[in-house]
Order: sequence, then C-alpha cells, then structure tokens
Amino acid sequence: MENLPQPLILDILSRLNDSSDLTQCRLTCKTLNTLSYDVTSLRIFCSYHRYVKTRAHPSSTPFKTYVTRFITSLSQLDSVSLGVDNSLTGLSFDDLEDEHDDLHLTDADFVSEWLLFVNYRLKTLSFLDFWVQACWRRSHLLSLISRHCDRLNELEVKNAWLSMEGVTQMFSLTSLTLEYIRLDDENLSKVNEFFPCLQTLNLIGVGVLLDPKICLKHLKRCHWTISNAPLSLTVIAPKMIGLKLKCVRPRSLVLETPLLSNLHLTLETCGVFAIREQLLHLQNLRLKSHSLCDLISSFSGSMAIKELSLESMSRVELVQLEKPNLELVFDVFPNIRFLSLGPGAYSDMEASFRVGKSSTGKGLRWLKEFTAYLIINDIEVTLSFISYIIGSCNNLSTISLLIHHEFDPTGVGTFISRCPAYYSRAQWKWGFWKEGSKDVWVS
Amino acid sequence: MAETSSKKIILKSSDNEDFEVDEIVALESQTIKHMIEDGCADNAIPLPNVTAKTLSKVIEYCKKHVDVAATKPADASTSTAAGVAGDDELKKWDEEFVKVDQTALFDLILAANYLDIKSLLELTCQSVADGIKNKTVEEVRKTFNITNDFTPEEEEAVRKENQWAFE
Repeated sequence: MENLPQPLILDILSRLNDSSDLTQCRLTCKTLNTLSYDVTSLRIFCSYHRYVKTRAHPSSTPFKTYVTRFITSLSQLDSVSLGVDNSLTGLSFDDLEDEHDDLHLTDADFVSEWLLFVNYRLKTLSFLDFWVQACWRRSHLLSLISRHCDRLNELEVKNAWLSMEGVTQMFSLTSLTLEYIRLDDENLSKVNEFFPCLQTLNLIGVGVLLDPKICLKHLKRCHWTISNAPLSLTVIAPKMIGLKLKCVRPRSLVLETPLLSNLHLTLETCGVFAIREQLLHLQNLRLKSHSLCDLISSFSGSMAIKELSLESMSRVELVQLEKPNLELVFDVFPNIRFLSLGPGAYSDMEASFRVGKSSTGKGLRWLKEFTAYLIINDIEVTLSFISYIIGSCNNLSTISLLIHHEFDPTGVGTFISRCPAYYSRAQWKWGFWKEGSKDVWVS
Repeated sequence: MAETSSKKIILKSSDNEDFEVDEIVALESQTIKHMIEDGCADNAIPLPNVTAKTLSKVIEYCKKHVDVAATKPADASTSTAAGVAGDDELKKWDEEFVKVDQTALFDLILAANYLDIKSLLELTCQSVADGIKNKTVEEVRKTFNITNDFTPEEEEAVRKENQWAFE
C-alpha cells in the first residue's frame, strides 16, 4: 500500500472511518506516518467505551482535549466531522444523569480552540452532539462559524440547542442540515436572512417552530420534518426542484415552488393546502396522508406528473374520510407512467372497487409500470381488482406485486400462478413486504 | 442489457491482449474518452499501465454500470420500488466486485486512477479505508502488506508522539 502514489494514499487516509484508524496507520510505516498529517478529511467520534472509561478514570485525556490536539496537528483539513457514537446518541435523561459538559461538542468556547486553525480552508463541518449534555445548554456555535468560516459550503448539526444571536450572513453556505435541534428562530426568518445562498436545506425535527416560512431564492432541495403542529407552513423557493415535507396537521400549507419536479408529501390532514403557482414541472409525486382524496384533488392541472406513489395512513379517529379510488387517480393523473400503491392506499382502492365505486371507460393509457403492496384478504377479490387495473391500462410492461409476509404460503403460490394469465405481455415481478423492514424481491 | 453501439473500441493491455468493447462502455473512462475525442482511437488504444487481468475487471465494472444505467427508463426517477431495488442490487454488486485480494485491489485503484473512472476509484479507495477500520497496527500491516521501515527507536518515538491519542 505504501507504494501507491501519494495522492491515492492520501485519498484512502482521508476516507478512514475514525481518527483512531488514522493513528494506527501512522505507526505502520514512515510513508503513512508522514502523509497522515496531510489528510483533508477527518472524522472524530467518541465511543461508548471511551465515555465509560473517562467516567471510571477521570485522569484520562478528555475527549475535547484529544479533538483539539488532533485537529490542530493537521494542516490540510477541509472537512471535519465530530460527534458521539450511535450508542450514545440515543441516550436520554431517563437512561443516565450527566451534568458534565465534556461531550458538549457544540460548545462555542470548545470549538473556538481549534476552529481558527482550520477555518480558512474548511468547506464541510459536521457535529453530532451528545443530547444529554447539549439539550439544556444554549450554543452560540452558529455565530462563531458565521464569523470565521468564509468558505464553508456544508454545515450539519445534530442534537443541539442553537442560538441565532450574533450570527452574520454566510454567502458561501450552500447546504445546511439541522436534525433534532432546538432552534431559537421560531418562524425561520433568521435562517432565511443569514443563510441566503442555500441550495440544500434539511430541517429534521427542528423546533419549536410557529408559522415557519422558508423563503430562499436559490433553494433547490429541501427535506423538512415537523413533529409539532404549527399553524401554517410556507415554502417560497422559485428554483426549488425537490421537496420532501412531513408534517402533522398544519392549518395551512402554502407552496410557491413553480419549478418543483419531485414532491414527497406526508401529512395527516391539512386545513388549507394552497399551491400558489401551478406545478407545471412536477414529474414525481409521492403522497401519504389520512385524507388522500383531498390531497390528490389539489394536484389537478399538474399534467406533467409521470411517477405517482400513494399511501393512506391508518386512521384512529372515528370520522370516516372518503376512501380514494382508482377513478380519481385516472382523472387527476391521466399521463402517469409509473404508479405505486402502498398497502393502505391499495386496500382502500380495492375496498372502493368492491363497493362499485370504479367503472370502466377511463384508464391510464400511458402507464408502463405498476407496483402494489398487497394485503390479501380474499384472493378472488384481489385478482378481480388486479384484472380491472390491467384492463384499464393497455400498455403495462412491468407489474410488481409485493405480498404481505404473513400471507398463507399456499395462497401465495396460487395467487402468483394465476396472475400472469391476466396479462402475459407484461413482466411480472414478485416480492414480500413487512412493516418496518426492507422489501424482499424474489423475481 | 446495454444498447448495442454501432462502434466497437479495441483496448490493448500492457501484456498485449486485445479487448473489444462497446464504445459506450469505454467512455466510462475519461482518459479513453479524451483519446477518442483527440482521434487516437482508430486502431487499438494502448493502455501500457493496465494488465489484461486488471483490464478485464475494469471492463466488467464499466459494462455492469452501463447496463444498469441503460435499463432505467429515461423519464423515471429511482424512487419506484423497483428502482430502489435496482440501486440496492448495484450496490451489492459493487460490494462483491471489490472482494478481491489486496494486490488485485491496489491494481484496480491504479487502473481506475490512470483511466480516470471516478466511481471505480471511489469504490476501491473506500474499500481499502473500510478494510483498515478497527484494525491494530500489525493487522493493518499484514492486511495491506505494508513493510515496517521504522527502526525500533523510530517506532518507539512515533508511539510516544501519539501516546495521547491512545489514552
């Protein structure tokens, strides 16, 4: 390995999983020892083992000291990833009491000890903090980074409480990920103001937000998950092409995203759903909701949609919402080429079919690929519905059916053997699905 | 399967073995792409830095990736269930592809670097980095056939320099 060209050795060393692996490499031979100080990327993570050891032996090197010493010894870093192992990320106060701050990694005073050695070169920075210590300590990390990291392109912070006080505009920042963050910016106005050049924004479990509004003129991709129920959500992004939004029950949801090409929308219900400018470029749409019918109807006019995925959420309320049916899909999405029905959506549509809410006449003449997650209660009904779908779509080339893993194996054999007779021109693909697990394809 | 191109390209390995490939497969290599653009591909393209054994593997990689890209409909995204399954399958194929001995792996790295096939270089370099994970110094030396050129005194000095990192 030491005879590989040095740039390639550096590439390998810069991909190492952890700083401890880099240390081991230093001791193998002179070449790797020398090159190890020129790595461009470094990951330093505190393991559960280290955490326990420092509690048992307080005289061992504190993790923060180790981090500062390691980073300041490397002269070419442009990417730093700092955090605690997975085994520590899931811990909460119920699991342990910890009033120390030795693993409060987003502490601005600690970060300032090493940041100024690398800031002029830094392009990517990532923090995965120790929630037990970070959740009750407000951090001025963003102020520090905004003042000193002029070339930073990507910033990721997880499991922290972040203040927006003292933050200055960061024109180089194009990607921001905040996950499980308590953010002192309840309507996101400061995020919009101080990070105006963002092209990618990921807000996963960021709170507490009230009437948040994303308004970023360069934003192209956004992944937004909100677990509380703000009154309204607004996204104004004239260049956005991809949006993945998961929320609970906003009173209103407003999208002003005229160039949107991919939209994944998960919400239980929505009071008012307003699409301010027609989504003429929307090609890929995924909807998951209690109120699928209402949501589907909102997309009338988005004639460019080619790929559609639908799923009904299970309902716990007593109020019966109208079940979606295939006719609605035929009406609103006449040009789709790919259709995927999750187990809930498939079951609802099969139920609508059973009570006669579907009729012949309409169809999907362009549909090429159909995928469905089946819960088979009655083979004959399911076969009848599959036959109806095939009959409505004359150009199918691929039919992919995933059967629930608990379905009787004999029934599976019968079902699989009978299906192809309905449409021999298509390729049939089979698999099994299970809640919470990866799909298993058998053909 | 990859669409059959009307043009074939002949690649000549360092040990003079000829490999006929579809142009679209050869174009996975930026080095070969530039040679074709510069008009150097009328006869066989000589690759003096790549043996037949390694070139065969490289072609296998390029062909697989071209084939997979060709089976995706032009207007489909990867988010259909079958599309996601296809990506997972390619990822598994890549994982199996790099399960070779360390000599072959380093030869692939050198070939990917010379031929400028970015995805193959990333795959092979990452494979080496993953192979170092959680290994002791001796295990890293043994796995990657690294010669320890420290004198005992030098090695002791390096250990001492890095002692803080082990505490």
